Amino acid sequence: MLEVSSVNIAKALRAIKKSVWVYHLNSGSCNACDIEVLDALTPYFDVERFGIKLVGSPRHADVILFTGPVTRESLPKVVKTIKAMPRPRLILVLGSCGIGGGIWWDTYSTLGGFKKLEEILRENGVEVDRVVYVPGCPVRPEAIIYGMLLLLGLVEQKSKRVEVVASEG
Amino acid sequence: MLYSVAAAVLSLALAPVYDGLERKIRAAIHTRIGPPILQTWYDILKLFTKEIVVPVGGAWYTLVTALELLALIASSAILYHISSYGLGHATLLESVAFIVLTSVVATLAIVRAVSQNNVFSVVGGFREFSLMLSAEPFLAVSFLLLASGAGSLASKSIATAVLAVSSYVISGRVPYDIAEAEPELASGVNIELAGPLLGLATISSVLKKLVSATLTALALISFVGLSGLSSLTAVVIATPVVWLVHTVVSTILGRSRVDLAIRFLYVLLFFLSSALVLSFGLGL
Ligand code: SF4
Repeated sequence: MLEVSSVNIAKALRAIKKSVWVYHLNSGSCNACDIEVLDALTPYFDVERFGIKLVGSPRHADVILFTGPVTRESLPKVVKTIKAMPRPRLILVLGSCGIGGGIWWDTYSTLGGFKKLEEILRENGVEVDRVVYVPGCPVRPEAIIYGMLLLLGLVEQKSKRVEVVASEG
Repeated sequence: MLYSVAAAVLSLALAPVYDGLERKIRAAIHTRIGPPILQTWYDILKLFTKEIVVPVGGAWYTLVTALELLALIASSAILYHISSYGLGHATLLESVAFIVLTSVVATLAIVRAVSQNNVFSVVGGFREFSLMLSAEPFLAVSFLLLASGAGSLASKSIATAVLAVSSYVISGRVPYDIAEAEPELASGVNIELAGPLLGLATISSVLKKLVSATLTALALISFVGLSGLSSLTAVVIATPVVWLVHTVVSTILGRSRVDLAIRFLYVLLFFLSSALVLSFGLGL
């Protein structure tokens, strides 16, 4: 059993803006998004200038870089990993698969993206404090960095959400 | 005494800034911009705002982490105290206390690692143990020799070289960072730490670098023959310079193979120690 204390989320979120430790979590992607994640972390893009650093344990992480449509096989491990993060938990969902399952959105062996996983996390009492979705197949490194800055509240969102209802006939 | 305390406090506060400078210089060598100089301070302050997740082992575990930090603060305080009159004039008690404290730091890190219910952490603990065995004895012998003030210029120079190499190893830099490794090895001794506990461990790792740089600076300044406030000031100024040299060395060794690094260390320290014994034996 682990003892967990309460935390001032607003204060922690302010501190995270200057120091962002990321953990890469693959829930069963085709690996193209993962290669782009590695690309974004290379010296070429120099994300360390924003205080971003890759860590090897979810216990150290502030942000999870989430790829893949969540396969049934990976589900328990994914829930366990996100649960292992100390709060505040921020998640950057990457690629079409992460967002809505991509081309595997309705297959028997996947959950169909982070939205469905969020419900399971809620049922297990795992709270996620902020989520940003970055589309693409695969997602571009520049988009990953932009999504990260959006997640931290350092830039404004450019696109607006528009809900469209399909009419019959 | 008052000046030594002031120097120790100043250096403890500046150590994370030196670490930030190290990251900035490493970035410059990689031709990238790199993080702000205060980045290590930002990291530490952030960790203290995060949720406390106490790993299996509870209070006992927290105590070991805090004791490790205290032992590091005490060992750097002893170094600054010795700096105020030069390494060659250190008393036996001070020298032994310093050696014991550095061994205590490594032992506590191992105890912390193996007491966790995580196999990666236990593996990290054993890696820490093998590093301790390979560097600590050489560090202890060279430090005691220099502190005794005995020997000729040649033997003192060789002892300083042994001290410089072994203190680089205890600083936990590449390629001798295998205890807590980097993400590609799935992390190590700190794998279960989160929030403020990880913050304490981060301060400890920065202080290890400070002790390592101060130790080499102290050995080098003792050649100039300064004493009193001028010796202390010289050590405080020389510490970031040694830190800079460590930075450049670690960046150059960034892609060296871990197994070769350990073998190279054994050969180098064996060669230097043989030269040291010879120079003492022949009275050179
Ligand atoms: S979004 Fe496209 S590139 Fe990314 S994991 Fe899915 S299929 Fe692969």
